[in-house]
Amino acid sequence: MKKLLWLLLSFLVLQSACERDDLCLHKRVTPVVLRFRDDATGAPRRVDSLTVTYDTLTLVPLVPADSVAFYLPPEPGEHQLAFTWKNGSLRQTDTLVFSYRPREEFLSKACGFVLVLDSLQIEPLTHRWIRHAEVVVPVVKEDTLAHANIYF
Amino acid sequence: MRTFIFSILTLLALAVAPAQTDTSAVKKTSPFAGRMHLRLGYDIGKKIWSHYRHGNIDQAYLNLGYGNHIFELTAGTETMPYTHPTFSLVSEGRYWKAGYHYNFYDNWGDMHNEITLGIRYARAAFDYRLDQIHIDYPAPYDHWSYTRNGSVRFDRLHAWWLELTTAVRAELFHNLYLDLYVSGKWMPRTPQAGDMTAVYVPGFYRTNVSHFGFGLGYALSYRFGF
Repeated sequence: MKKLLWLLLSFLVLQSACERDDLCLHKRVTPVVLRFRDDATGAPRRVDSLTVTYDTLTLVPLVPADSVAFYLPPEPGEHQLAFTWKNGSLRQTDTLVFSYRPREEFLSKACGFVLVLDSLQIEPLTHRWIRHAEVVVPVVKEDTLAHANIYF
Repeated sequence: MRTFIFSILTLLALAVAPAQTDTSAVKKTSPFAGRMHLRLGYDIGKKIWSHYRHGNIDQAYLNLGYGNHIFELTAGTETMPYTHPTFSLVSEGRYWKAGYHYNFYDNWGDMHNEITLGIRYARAAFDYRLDQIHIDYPAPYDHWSYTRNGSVRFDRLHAWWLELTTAVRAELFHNLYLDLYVSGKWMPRTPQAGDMTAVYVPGFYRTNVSHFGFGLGYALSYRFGF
């Protein structure tokens, strides 16, 4: 009888060792992170008032920033984004083409599938204020300091 | 919730087990001693639960008992859906389990109740049909959220694991028993389905990063004595 009690007790202990591993620490969709740098020195440079729009959707409202993060649509191919710099009464808009290959990747039982953007490329169509763009991390999957640098 | 149920089960087991009273006057022999019996069981708990989850599980077992030693063979077939915020799939397969249990319960007179502790080895063969992947964008970009339909199959998946089980079998009426059981399971290697880790294995339930699982349930069994 005592033996059985001990067996049942050890079983209870075993059961308490099982824990739920339901926590997912990964974002389902990762925003693309852009860092603005001075074209001459390469040092981080702040844009006084930046607006980023995609068609009619405002991705980044009028904010001062040297670094921005925003979500990209899940369609493959090319997407034209308008980057507007407001400097006092002066407004300059450049169109940047973002192209990538979206896919779903299975991470874990807790996270399930996440959206990953492969082969990220950024090309400025116009050069009114942006000189060039440089992609540093071509896969938008993890949060990083910067996926790309925009030089102006 | 599960811990609560298990505690109740434990209390039940302790209540059913007899107090060791003075046995010097009557020498009782276990009705099992030197005698064989056959027990056929069907898992009604899994059947009901699986239908509640829009699936189906049929599990039956055969026990061959000699004295207090019990050799068990279990077989089951399953079709169960699995849903997650980002995907849904259907798991379909079958499994078998082979085990040895020891009955600790001292039966009196003509009773054949059991409180057993045992171990099992289990294997499953199954398929996955991945029906849907859904990606959610946070607000205010919800309109970019999408669902991709289309069945992707992962066939001929296999898994094996070990179980430590304790069961209580109490006679309801003539040779018909109610089985209550609790199992701790250990799957050393979680199988892969393509790029996915298998999230559900028939017979095991949901897989875990820790490789451990837990199960409890109830079955009806019929005992044939010899």
